[in-house]
Amino acid sequence: MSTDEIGKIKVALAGNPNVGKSVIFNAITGAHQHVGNWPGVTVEKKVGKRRHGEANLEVVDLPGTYSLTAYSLDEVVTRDYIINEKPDVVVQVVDATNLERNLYLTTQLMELGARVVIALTMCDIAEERGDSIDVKKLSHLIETPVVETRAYEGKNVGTLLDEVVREATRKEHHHHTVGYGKELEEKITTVERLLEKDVPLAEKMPLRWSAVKLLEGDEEVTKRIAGSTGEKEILKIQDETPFELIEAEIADKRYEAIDAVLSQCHRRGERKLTMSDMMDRVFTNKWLGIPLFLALIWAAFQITFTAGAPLMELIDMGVGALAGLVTENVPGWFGFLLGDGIIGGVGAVVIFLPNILLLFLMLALLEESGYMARAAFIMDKLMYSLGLHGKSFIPLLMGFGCSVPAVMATRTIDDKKDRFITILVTPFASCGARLPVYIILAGTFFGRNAGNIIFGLYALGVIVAVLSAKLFRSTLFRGSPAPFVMEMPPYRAPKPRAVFRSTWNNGRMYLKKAGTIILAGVVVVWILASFGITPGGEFGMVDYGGEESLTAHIGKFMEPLFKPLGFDWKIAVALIFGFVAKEIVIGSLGVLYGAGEEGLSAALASDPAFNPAVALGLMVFVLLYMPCMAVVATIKKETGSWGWTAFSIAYSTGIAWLLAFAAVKIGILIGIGG
Amino acid sequence: MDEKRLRCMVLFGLLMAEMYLTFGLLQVVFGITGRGILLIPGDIVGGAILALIGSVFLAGVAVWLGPRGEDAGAYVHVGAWLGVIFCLVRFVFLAANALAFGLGMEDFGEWRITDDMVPMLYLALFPLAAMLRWRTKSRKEMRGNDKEDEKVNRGQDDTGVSTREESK
Repeated sequence: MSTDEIGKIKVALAGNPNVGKSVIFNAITGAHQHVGNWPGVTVEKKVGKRRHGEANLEVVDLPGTYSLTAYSLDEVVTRDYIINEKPDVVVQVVDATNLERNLYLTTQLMELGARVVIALTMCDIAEERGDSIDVKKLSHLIETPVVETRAYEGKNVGTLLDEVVREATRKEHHHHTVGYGKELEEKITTVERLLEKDVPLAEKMPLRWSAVKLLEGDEEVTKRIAGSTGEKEILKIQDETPFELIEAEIADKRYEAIDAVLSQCHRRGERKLTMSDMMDRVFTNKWLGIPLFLALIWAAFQITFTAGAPLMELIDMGVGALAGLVTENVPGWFGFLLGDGIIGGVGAVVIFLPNILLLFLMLALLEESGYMARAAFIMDKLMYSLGLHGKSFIPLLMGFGCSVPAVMATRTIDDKKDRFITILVTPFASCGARLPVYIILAGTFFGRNAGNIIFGLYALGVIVAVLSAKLFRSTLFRGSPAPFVMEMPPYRAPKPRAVFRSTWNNGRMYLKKAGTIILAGVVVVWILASFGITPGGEFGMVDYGGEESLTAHIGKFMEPLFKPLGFDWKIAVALIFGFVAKEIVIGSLGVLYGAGEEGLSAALASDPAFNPAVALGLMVFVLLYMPCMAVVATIKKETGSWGWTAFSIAYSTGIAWLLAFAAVKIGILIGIGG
Repeated sequence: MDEKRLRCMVLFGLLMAEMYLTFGLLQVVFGITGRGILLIPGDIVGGAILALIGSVFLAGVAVWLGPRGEDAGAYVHVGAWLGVIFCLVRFVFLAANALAFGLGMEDFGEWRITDDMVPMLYLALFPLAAMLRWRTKSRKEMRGNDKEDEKVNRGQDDTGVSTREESK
């Protein structure tokens, strides 16, 4: 491609996990993709567009990967994209504080024949540590453009794109190779020649890279050569090759090459104890780590509840006034639908917006500061002893926000057994959608202890998750979890823009859900509560929520299942509709109690069917019972099996029933049962 | 960090450990017995967190007495940060409770500002003051180091070793 015929340029963003690829992606494309300060935030490739000068750039953000060996699913996504889609330029985002390891991926990208441009990030942290990098010399030595960027501030993004366009339009492309020593090079040449014989295959795959991978025993590449002309001979060579030794030798040679470059352009400063190091001494301390983690999470939930309560009251007053106004002024059934159905139902969900925003604000602060990665680290030992992989804690933590991305985040777990266990237990981490249920019930029945009750529920979710994992490990998925290796990102002051964007995006999603799924759900509940079989045996409008209504019929059909828990048919209906989205539990109760004007809290408090023990049981049931529809679909997608999906639904609902039953009985025993 | 400064930090850590642990344990005991006094109300969780912060300071003192004494500063630093962070959390509670009182919410009819004047809030004045002092000192030191670096860099320029500044 020459400069005068610039058209679409396909750019792939690659790099190690947690080096800031998504930050650069957002800076280039203006997107608002979620950015986190821990590895594994991007598990699927994301596409964005940008016009730069005459060029139309299509930018693809790939999941982070340390190498192209394809040990985990996210590595496979990255590797396959580069091989199959052949992007015009690969921008490798390189962390300046860890040049040696980041350049290891560079050697592999170059071996793949990709045109690479390096975006150097975290230079400020490297500088703080006393490192110095001669960027010009580095670029010269590896014959690749290197641009120092500060994407959060948008610094040098234009220069980076200039280099991308220049690299894409450069006519000649110099293939860089690392020499692996005489003996190994002979083998590589032999395999290359065998691959060359199959012309269609040779056109699809970079020969040298494929030969190296075959000698390393890469299963994916071995599958690709199935049926090719040289397959038999290659397999014979593979039989005689000690893969692990070859892999180690190749890695050594790559690092030798990297050292040779870095010794000329990189000077490591005297290692001073940085603030980040200091914090790690304490936060990852054997004795203090877990209590500090619990204290911080407690503070996050207390703020969510305590600071949210008065704001919630303000919205509640507004919703109540609006519902009253509508019911008084809009005549007939339509006013009833609007006031008690829509405003009562959707309003019962919308009033929790402050709590939702606060919860996500707290999670964003913990994540952005780099603390979440430490949380995974300090919990690793405990997780391992319970049969879970240390990396599993990250999906569990993400599950506090929403279980859909959390289940998807299990893709970063290499071992299939570890991954399946994590998928099955992740929905036990209480997602934001369940929070309104806790707030209304804990707030109504537990007064000033509400914050502690909510914290206890979140803790119970994690306890059930880890105990279930232990059970699965010793029955369904026997074996030991794979060892856990995770790089600790440096602590950093959370960027206000990133924190507020993440908080607002989640709040907006919540409001969107309230205006769509929840609105539809409460209208359906209202219709079911308003219509039924009249005493004359005809179908028509009946007493709202009365014995003849359809909701009563559905609820009463399910009631025997819930009766031992002390739940009446109204709760049964709310729980059934909660499968669509957990917020609908509250929306449905709002509709069924006609809570538009007086407020759901007051309506529940005056219902004799409710008492603190039943409320506790209901909260435990909502915490643990089957995940919502979107999560079920994600579990099906990620496990690829209806069997495991059905198991997840049945297991979680069974556990929810048992523990809710226990909670109600304990509640009665300690005297809060009425 | 020079030995004198480290010793000062450890002394401060010891003082803070005593205060946070004492107030924390008092709050836990008051919380269990259902009693409390003005400015030290009973609160089991709040007291446990104060005791935890006190333990971080105390760990700093213990580290100082051990073979890796130079790490003690890290614990005192982080202990001070924790004190300030939890003070902010408590301040948010106070503001929210005041708003709830202002709105006339049910549970807050008898709320008084002294109800929320808890040790987590006022004890943090000490770590806050210490952090401000350390910050001023570090800045002064950094300015001094910059001058040193400049001298060294000038020397390096003569020998031709390149730095990142040059490559820009």
